[in-house]
Amino acid sequence: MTYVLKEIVDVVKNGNDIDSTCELVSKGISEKRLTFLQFVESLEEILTSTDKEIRLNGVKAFVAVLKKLPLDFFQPEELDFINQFLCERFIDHHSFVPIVLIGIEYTVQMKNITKQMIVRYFNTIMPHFHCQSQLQNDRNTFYCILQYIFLNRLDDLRFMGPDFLYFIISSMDGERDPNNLILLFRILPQFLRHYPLGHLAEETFDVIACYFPIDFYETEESKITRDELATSLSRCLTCVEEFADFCIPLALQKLEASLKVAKLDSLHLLKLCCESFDPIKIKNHIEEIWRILKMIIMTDTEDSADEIREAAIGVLTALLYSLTIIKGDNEQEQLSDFLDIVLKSSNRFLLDTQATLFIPSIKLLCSVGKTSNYASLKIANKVYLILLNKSDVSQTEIIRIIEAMGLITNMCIQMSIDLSSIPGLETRWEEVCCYFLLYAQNELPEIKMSALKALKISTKILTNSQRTNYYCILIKLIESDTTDSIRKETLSCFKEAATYFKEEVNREIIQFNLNIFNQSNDIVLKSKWLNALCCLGKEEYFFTLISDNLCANLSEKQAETKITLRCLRDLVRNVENINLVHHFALNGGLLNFILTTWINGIKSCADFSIFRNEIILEDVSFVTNSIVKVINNSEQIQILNQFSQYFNDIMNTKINFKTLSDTQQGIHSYMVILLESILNSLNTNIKLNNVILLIENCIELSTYSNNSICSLSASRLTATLINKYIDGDENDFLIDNFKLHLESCLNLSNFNNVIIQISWITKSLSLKGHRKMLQWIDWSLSLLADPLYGKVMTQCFKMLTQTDDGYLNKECFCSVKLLYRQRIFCYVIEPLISKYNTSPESVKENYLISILYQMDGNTYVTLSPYFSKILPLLLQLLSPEQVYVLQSLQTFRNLLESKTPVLEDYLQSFVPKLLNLSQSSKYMNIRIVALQCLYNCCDYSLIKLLPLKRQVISELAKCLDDKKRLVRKEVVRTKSRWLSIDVVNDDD
Amino acid sequence: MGLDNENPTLFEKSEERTVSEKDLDDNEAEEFDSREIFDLIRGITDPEHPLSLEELRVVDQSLIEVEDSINTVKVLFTPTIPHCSMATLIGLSIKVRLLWCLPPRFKISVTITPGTHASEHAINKQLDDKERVAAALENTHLSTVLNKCISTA
Repeated sequence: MTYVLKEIVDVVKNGNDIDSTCELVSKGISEKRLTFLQFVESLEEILTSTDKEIRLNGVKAFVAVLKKLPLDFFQPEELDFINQFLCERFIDHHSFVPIVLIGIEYTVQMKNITKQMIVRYFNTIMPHFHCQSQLQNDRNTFYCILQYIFLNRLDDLRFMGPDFLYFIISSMDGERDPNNLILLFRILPQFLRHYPLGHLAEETFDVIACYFPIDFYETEESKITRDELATSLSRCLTCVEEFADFCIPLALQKLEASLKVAKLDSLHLLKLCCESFDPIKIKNHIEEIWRILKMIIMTDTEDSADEIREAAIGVLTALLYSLTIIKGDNEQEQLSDFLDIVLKSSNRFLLDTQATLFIPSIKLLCSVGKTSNYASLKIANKVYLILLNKSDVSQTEIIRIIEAMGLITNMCIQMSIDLSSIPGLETRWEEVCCYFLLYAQNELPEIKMSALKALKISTKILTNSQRTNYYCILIKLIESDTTDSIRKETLSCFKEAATYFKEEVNREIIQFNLNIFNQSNDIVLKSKWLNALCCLGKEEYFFTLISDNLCANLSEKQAETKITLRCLRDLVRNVENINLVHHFALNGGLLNFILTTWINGIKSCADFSIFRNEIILEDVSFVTNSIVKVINNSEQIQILNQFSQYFNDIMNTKINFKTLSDTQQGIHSYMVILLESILNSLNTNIKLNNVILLIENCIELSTYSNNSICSLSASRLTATLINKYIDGDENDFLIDNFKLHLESCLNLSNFNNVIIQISWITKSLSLKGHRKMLQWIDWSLSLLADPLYGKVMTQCFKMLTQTDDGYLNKECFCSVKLLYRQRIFCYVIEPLISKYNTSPESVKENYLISILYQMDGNTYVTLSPYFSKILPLLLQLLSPEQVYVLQSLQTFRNLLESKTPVLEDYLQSFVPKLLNLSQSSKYMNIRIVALQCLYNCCDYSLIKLLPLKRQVISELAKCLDDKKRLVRKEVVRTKSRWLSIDVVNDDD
Repeated sequence: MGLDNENPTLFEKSEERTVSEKDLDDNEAEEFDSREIFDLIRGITDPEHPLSLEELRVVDQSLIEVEDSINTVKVLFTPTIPHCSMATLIGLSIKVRLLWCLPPRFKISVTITPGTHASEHAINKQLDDKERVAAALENTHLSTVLNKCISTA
């Protein structure tokens, strides 16, 4: 092993490859094959060399070996020598400092290091080390030493007193590197808290405070954020009590700055001050703090000041918490004094309810009140009395008074304060809610609205008699003809009341009126009550009641059925009611009732106005579908098993539509709508028997049914089934068979149905990315060329880009491939464009419409590769003679709205065209959309817009005299935007 | 903070103009009326507060006169307090907004509602002076403030 030591002399002398050789040495030492002494002795020649470069290399090797040894390797006696050696080298030459610092950093962490050694280190470092003249890395090493000392060995250095403290602050004074600063800010609190500051407190504070507020611009590479720096700095500034006298004035001073970050930082600092310093210290500054806070919270004129306002309220809350903990001769005195100041300064804003600052000051008082019971009592007393004593108030004032009282009541409820316990209100507390109740009956909708809002808040604190009164008001409002917003508010009050007083609401509002309205023939009244009932769908208590009442009104008369289904539709759509929907699906529940009733109704050819009405059937299908969608697998299976017997004719026997009797044709057509509503959202792991037969029957029904919604349902069901159940190569022939069959049907008189069926199947195949999809898309493309079918076929290209809420999506367990829309686009766009250019006039428009549909459904990213081909086509369309100008303008507007980058280069070609359209088109809609396009152009870069500005503005001035007002409105909007494109904002 | 009126009275905003069927008919023509002028200026922001002139009731539909046939628009505005130092600026922003948004055939006059401001006559004269309006728009500081007020309209 000693050969390594021989080698090392050469290695170190040359200064190459020190690290790897040292690694071998330290390995030898830790495995006891060598001793550290042997290693040092071998370096003798080097460490005593007169050439300082060689000595430096020697120290490097020494430290490198040292660093590879375990922390508990050396005995105290050995360490003592190392310690002495490093101290001597530290003052040897300035170029030794960095490497020695690394050595010190490692040795201070060693297990056997003693107090004397640490003191020796600092005695050497303190007089000879000027931290700020070192490089960033070396300063960092030094701060790392400090970090270790602060955390573990601070007691050893305490005897040094102010000298050590002075050394620390002078070595960090002027530090500019953010990485070092963040380290310092993190370690300083630990030091400052445990080291006596004495007369140097202010000095210390100043050295740290000069960084406040932090001015640091984050870049992509910087690993630290401004916020991190700011947070650690404010923690430093508030870590010891001695700083209080300097810190609060500092925060207040910087708060007056105009910069937003400075304000926010100061507010956060102030909040920390309130949280960490002794409340007595805070008290001395309280008047000034309040003066500034008041200004920010209530009268700041900047729109963007919300964040600042929030922060200021945060400070205020912290301040109040701090005041509540002052204990003394009379506990509440401090808080009370401050509250008096707050109330006194808000007083003048509370007097004029119409003034701008009325509601803000109420809100401020509420946040003050929420800090302690004492404060809220005091505030509630003051505000309630001022507001209740107002007499002779105008209608606009009433609205604001109610709103204010609502806010205060809300505060009291949150603080669980009983209104009757508020001093001065013992006899009058009931007046508050009476006030609300009184104005809830006011004629003016605005007053009614605010009273209802306040009542909703105070539901819990109404007295028995007030509640009786309240229920009467609610009943009246539910039954009356009011605006939508009041109806909504009434219903949410009703809902709130039903949450707290279930039995009472049931007895006094519902049961009482139910009998009356069930017997009445007033359809409007019925609809209002059903609506009201349906909004209780969250409360389990009312489930049976809702379900029974809905069932009772279904299927008897057409009008009632319609309104009931409408309510039901809204109900199942609302996610709040999910439990109620599950309740509907229970055996013998509402779903069961609906399905049985309609199956029987259709089969027995009962009242056509109910059982074969399109709107009603659509609603029934929607409701059934929505319920089936949310229930779980086993519940779905149960429903399927229970009802599949009724659909035997469609599911299990081959249908030949033309041979059926008229009655049978009707029954089959309508039954398929119900069947679709059950099967549409079935989980794919529920297997259906005879799927292929079912699909064939659906195609048959969709082709021949005379009724459009039956045909649509059948086509859609076909598509859903193919998407869910037809997989694998062995079934490819099925798809081919369907195609052959449909091809042969095209020459029938109802070819529209056939084409819609083709479109649905194409969509279904495309969604799941089936192997046959391209074949079907090709077929659709070729059908566009047909003068007879082409027009209808364009719908297919619209359908392919659209997503339908209820059908063929993942919620219905259909398989939907990622980016299928983009895939189709890329496949069809080129053929569409080339066909458009080569086709005869008569079918040209079919291609054009399909292109526009495809473009609408895709984003720029998809369009971009084809843009150079599409754009000429679009520009060609932007002239007043074109038939499709409106549609293409809308597509164009969508492109501009999404800031399609490529259009920027063509601004010069299309802006004149748009200007021309906005002046000379005969149709107002075209003029409006052209102007909207021009408006959206302003999103592009200024440099491209400026050359056009003069022309646009002068041309738009001509449009200002348009004969249509709506167009003029659009011109003004567009012109203003163009006028302001080059306006410099304050922020820039 | 040195505001002229720290705590102004707030008024309700009026509803948006409803679009009638006639408005959507291509063959009908609509003349300029006071509501249309009001809609142009009601959204202008007060230079002191983040509030619109409508909310402060500085402008009111009843104080606007329009005669489409003889090409005149007369707007009266009411400062919130009689010694408001911002009155000229408010008047200027109304005037500029109308100059930009009305066809050039109109003669636009913007004046203070009689009896609502201490130096009413001087301000009216200033607002009526084309040269001074043009000069004001050349002033960078003034045009920044103006643009800020008008940008919300």
